[in-house]
Amino acid sequence: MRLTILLLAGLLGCEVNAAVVRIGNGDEGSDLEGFTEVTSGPLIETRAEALKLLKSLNVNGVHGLGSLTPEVETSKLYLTKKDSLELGKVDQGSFHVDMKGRVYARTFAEPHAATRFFPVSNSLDHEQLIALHIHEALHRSLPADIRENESIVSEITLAITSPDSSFDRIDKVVSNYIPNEVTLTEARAEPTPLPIPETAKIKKPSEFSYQYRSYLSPNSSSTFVVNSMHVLQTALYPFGTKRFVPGLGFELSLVNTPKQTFMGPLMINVQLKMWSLRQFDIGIWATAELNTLSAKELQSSQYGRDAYHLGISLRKDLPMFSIENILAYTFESTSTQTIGAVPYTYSYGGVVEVSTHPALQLSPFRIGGFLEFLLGDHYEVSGGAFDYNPGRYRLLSGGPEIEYRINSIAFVLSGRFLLNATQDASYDSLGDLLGVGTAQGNITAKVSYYF
Amino acid sequence: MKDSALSIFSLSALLGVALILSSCGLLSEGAGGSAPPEPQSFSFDGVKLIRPDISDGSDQRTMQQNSYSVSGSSRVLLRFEAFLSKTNTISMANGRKVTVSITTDGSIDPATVQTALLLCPVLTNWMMLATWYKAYPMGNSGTWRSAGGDYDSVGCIAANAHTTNTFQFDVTPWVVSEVIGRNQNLGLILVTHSSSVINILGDQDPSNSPRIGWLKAQ
Repeated sequence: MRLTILLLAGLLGCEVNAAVVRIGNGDEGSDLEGFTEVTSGPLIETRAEALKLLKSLNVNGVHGLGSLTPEVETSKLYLTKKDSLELGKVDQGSFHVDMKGRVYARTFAEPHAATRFFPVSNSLDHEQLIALHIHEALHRSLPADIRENESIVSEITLAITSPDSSFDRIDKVVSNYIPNEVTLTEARAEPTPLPIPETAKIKKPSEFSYQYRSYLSPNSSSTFVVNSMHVLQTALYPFGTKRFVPGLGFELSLVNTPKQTFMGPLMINVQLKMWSLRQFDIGIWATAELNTLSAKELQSSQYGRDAYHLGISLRKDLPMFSIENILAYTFESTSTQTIGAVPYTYSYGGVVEVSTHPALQLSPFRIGGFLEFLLGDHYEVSGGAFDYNPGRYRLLSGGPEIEYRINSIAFVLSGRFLLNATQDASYDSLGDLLGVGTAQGNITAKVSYYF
Repeated sequence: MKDSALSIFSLSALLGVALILSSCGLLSEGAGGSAPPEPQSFSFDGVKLIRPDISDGSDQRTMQQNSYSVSGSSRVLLRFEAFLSKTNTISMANGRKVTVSITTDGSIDPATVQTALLLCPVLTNWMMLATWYKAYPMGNSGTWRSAGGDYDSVGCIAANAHTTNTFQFDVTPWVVSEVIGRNQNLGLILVTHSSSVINILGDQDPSNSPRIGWLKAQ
């Protein structure tokens, strides 16, 4: 043990002058002594002890030393028949040579190379041989840019084999030469934050907009005929960071029916907009559609319900193309309507909405469309002796979406058409006046100011 | 032994007398000293006028009116919405009947009304948004198979009695077969094949609204 400490001390003493070396190039023919593979004896025993030491210190967990243990364990050991003298810069360091310049061991500084021990190594004790095994294995297992640096390898060997060695000490020494940032370079390369483009929604999340919806002529199955609707919408995002902004918005509507004009539902929504490391615009929202401000007529209709929604949108803008996917859920609720002397209850089941909005980006235009699939759990109407419940239903919608944007102002023209539906199902089945509306669809014109 | 044989004989005799009296109806409800069956009468709460010229089911002219016209192009749907929950109170004993009372405004000769005004069982479920063409407005399944309402023309009945302008329709067969038998209450419809327009008093009339009545089981 004392010899090992002296050996290590000698190593530290010479490390100042240490330089990058090549190990075992066998120049001048001095390595042509012949050799035999070692399968037993002190070298095998000390290798087992070296492995035990490495495992007890959990060296595998140290950044940069992940392959040290396998190198010690699997390297073939050879014993040469003659000693070899130090080969100039090749064998610098106390681990390799004795006081007379005789070499203890050599290896090639590359993974899986064999280790050649020289007869003079028989003079080393167990601790020294353990250190020698680890030292040679370090030459093969460290990152290529430092594995031939004898001083670094020696210092790490010392950190591992010193009597009071610990994981933390080894980690500290190794981190001087293999910083975590270096070892994680590859892993971090992809998600390195990139600048947020000016076109990203999160750059100007706040919005003030007006839209006019003209509803298509309802067919005979419509229970609530709406001609048109004016919607005022605002959403403000006063908090958050560049990549994460929570906000609050609301919508007011004015509903025109053949009979009269009245205030529609009040929609309050809490929204969260994010910009992902993979450069996606992400929106998450929770919406309450309340009828507290509605006219009596609207309350006493199948649309007089409070509706609650949750949703998430993912949008990716590319130079020529953009796509936005939306997944939303509307919770089930009921409304009541008294017709004559009979009260009826409209029960709306939960509705799952998935939609995709692809578009071509032809600045300043964005020309595309959408395809939307709505799956409703049920739509039941009951009152007195009457009951109507066709069960689960689907609604497939689609339509064009054209946007013209100049700086912070956007003009959008869009249409919504019912493409396919379960028999008897229409937008009436949703009871969502401010959402998809009524009857068969609508055409919408919208102007927005973003800031 | 003798006493016990006598007791058995006495009990058998009593039971026999009771059975005889029961078969004569003397011990049934309303007989003897018990109170007579209480008449039950309910206004139809589902009263709905349908006409070809009114396509909006929520049109206020089609409901909660003082009177309705029944003609070749105007019919009135009737339903006591809570009927199914009341059927256990109906007494059918002794040939008792369930009757519907319809009162006219007197503008038509009662004899004409008695033959021209028909009350028919409806065959399709409907709601208060019904129109001449649709039993209910949701989807296409609500369309009447025949415009003007689907009803059992074979089961139509005329009034079997009347007092002045109030006409009694015996709907007992419909109640027995449909309401009690099938546990479904699709209601009734007033139709006429006459060229006359018969004005009946509506559900807003305080004392002569269309009603259904029976004697309550004890």
